[in-house]
Amino acid sequence: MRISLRERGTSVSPFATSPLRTAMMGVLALAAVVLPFVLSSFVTFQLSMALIYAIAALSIVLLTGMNGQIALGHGAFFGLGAYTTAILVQNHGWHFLLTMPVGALLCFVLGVLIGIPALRLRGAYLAVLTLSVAFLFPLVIKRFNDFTGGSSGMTISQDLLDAPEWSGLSRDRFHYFLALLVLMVLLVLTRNLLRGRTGRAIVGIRDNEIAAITVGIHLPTVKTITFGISAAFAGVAGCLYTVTIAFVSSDAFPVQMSINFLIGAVVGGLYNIYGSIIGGLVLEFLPQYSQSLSPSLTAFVYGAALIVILLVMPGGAAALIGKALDGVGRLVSGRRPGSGESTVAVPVSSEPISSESIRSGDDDPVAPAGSSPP
Amino acid sequence: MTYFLQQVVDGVSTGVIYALLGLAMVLIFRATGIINFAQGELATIAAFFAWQLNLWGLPIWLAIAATAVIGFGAGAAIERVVIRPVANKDHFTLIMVTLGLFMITNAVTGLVWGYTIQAFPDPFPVAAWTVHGVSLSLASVGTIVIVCVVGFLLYQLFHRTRLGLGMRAAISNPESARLSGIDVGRMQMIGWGLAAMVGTLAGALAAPKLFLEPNMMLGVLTYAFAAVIVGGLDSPLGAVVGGLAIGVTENLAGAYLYDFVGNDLKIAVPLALVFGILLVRPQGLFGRRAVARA
Amino acid sequence: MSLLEVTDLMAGYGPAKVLHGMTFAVDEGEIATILGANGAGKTTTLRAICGMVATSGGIRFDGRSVRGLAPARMARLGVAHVPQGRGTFAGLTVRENLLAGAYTRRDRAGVAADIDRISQWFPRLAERRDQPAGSLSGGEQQMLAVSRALLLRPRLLLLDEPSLGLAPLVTQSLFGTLTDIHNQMGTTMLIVEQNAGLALRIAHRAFVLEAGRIVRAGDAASVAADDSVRRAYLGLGDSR
Ligand SMILES: Nc1ncnc2c1ncn2[C@@H]1O[C@H](COP(=O)(O)OP(=O)(O)O)[C@@H](O)[C@H]1O
Ligand SMILES: [Mg+2]
Repeated sequence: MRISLRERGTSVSPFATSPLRTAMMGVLALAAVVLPFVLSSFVTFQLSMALIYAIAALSIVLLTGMNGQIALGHGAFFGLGAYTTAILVQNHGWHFLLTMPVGALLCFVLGVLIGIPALRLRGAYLAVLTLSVAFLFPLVIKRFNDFTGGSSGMTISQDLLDAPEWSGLSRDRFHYFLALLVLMVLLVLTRNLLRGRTGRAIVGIRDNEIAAITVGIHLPTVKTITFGISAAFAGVAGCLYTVTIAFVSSDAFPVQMSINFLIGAVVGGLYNIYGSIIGGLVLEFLPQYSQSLSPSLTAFVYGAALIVILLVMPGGAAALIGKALDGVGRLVSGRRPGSGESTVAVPVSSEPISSESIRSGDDDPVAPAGSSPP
Repeated sequence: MTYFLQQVVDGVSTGVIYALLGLAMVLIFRATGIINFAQGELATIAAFFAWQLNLWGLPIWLAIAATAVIGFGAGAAIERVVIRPVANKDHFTLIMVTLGLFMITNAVTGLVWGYTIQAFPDPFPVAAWTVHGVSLSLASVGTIVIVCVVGFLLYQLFHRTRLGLGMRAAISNPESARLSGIDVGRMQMIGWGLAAMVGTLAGALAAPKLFLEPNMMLGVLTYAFAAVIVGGLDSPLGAVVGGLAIGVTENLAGAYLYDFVGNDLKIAVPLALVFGILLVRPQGLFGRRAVARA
Repeated sequence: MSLLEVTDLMAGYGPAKVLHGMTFAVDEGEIATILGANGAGKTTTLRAICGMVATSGGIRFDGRSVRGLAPARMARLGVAHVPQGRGTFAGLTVRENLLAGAYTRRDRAGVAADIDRISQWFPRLAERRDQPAGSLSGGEQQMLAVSRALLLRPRLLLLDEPSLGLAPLVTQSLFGTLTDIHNQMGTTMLIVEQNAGLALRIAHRAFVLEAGRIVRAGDAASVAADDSVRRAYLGLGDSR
């Protein structure tokens, strides 16, 4: 435990405190607010989708990156959230904002229910269980097609998704800011969750279950609740998806979607909650460009990126940016590497320790296996 | 009763396909301790390859055999190039790498052959027998025979040959295997090669039933997973029994629970059963080892 | 000429260096032992000889340089290694373990004869030939690991703490059998041990390893008589 929770200079959050990081945060925040007023409504819509996928990637970062449970079925929770909003808005006349807590709650419950059998499964078995969930979801939707519209889908009347009068915003801008707000809130929630005792429990379980039990962490509770929260995040993303796209169908939530979420999380950075933002951008924009060249290119690029990143840079883009910023920071301030400032944001960005170092009882593991270039 | 038997027979003839893909997974698991998510896609690309050779004029059986041989080389090459560099990494990395392989293979298939559905020539002539009112097609019987033969040969390989002994020793204790002069890396390559060969057969036998397209094996993959989980990841016999059990359950569910589950959801029934089993016996019904380590 | 010559051997795990320049030699036909406390680097030494860790320095076997050869190559050259702890194939039967040990050999008759001979040395194994190795007791597993290594028909047998985890009586009988094997087959052995008393009794030559360096070398009797060795490794007082 003590080992696993040590701060790691190499994997500091790229957005953690330092003048440079603060400056970058400021620029990004400004851009996030100004962009929808500058860009076309279609690009704004695309940015909204990127934010939604970022929320989905965040749910994977929490469950897989921080807690070590492999999630190959989050497309199902995303879909459940999407259908919750679609059905409540279209068939029952709810306001779409009110459907989000319902979607989150439903997914939380389903997540806990799946998290319980998941307790007994590790590694590949858990991957297969969650993959089956992803595989079954579209089939369940088709089975209950009276209710869901099946594969022909269900369109939500646009006027039901209009921005509220008081906001004074266009529909697309409102959806964008809604997604942005939700993402920010969930990022802050996750950061706070990962700080302190709960965070140590979540990350401690990932690094060494036995050690976690011996320091009194109640494994089943922490794991199932983390599963539930992660599922709820994915569900909320699904609600926002329906709000933004106004159409759901069983074909919109294929197995591939679940795999893509995981890929987005890995590419952005599995061990850094802010990496999910990059993951979301990649998931939305990369297919737009590659698809125009060839329909198979996206899958190819995803697959290749997955392998290369795992081999070369397991920390993903977030780790890369973190390193670059550290480098620039050193140049600017003339400080030596390793002096000060590497003690921020621990569980938020801590990478797992290598299993070798656990086995040999080595007290001073270097960076996680393969994460640091020689 | 006849109806019931017919359903069982039909279930067996789909189950053998799951069994075959399951066997390929067991081979890889026994050789390298990896669960290969790309197994189904590798089978698909092999089926396309055989189809292409057939289109170029090779008789279908010859095309399948040639593909199986090439598949062996391709499987061995994948082990060497993609799997070897990550062999010592944690479980998560290994799973993700085979997932990456899954996506790349799927993409390459689509890139080369496109997404239009193709008809794969049936390697068996159309013929059927009727025994006590139960109809048995030549294709079903032939497929079952092939799976039995493959299973038998693999058993012989592992338990009656020096190479098989080396492969078993290498997975049981790689360090001692090396110290005994066994080239563990080569054993792993051969394991992947053999798996690709068996996978080729699975793809070629599934293709006439499923129609050839890049995502053809996704469902079969899920079932084959279920089959090896029921059977135990390290047990070839388990993969066969598991595959058959799943095929039969699926078919019976479709026949008797139709009103409740419908056509789309009948495949959920065996999956549900599998996870029931998994909760009670995480190492599967026939497996010796719990593969639950993270 | 020595069968095994090690000169200025350095080895370690990544940045952690364990061996800091070891020099020693083992002659053909003798039993040599390396003594040393837990963590001194005994296991690392044997692993270095078999190419299982990164090394620098010189390792010559039978006059040719073998440093950096892969473990499987070393086995084919006739160096057998019984690793510390689990040296068997748990899922394979006793018989299959032995056959795996003979993997590099093509002389079926010779292998069968060797299995017969080993059955005489270790009758317990013969009784359990169709049981999986994992079901054997600790002592039986160690016997099996030694037998497995012997089936290579090695010119040099490396043994890493064969006494580890065994009851004293079992250890004694194992060392007795090792002597028998040496007498009958003339196999050169390098035994690494914490149990110095027993090892010194069967060895001809001994080396004392401390923190990655050989600090004492000589024939077994003189090393056994050395005061500091007696205090540190034999738990005895000064010799008067
Ligand atoms: N796999 C390993 N990784 C890192 N250090 C190791 C490893 N194995 C052993 N060591 C270290 O090398 C040193 C010597 O170990 P070893 O050769 O096993 O000693 P001995 O066999 O004499 O007890 C010890 O300090 C040990 O911690
Ligand atoms: Mg040792």
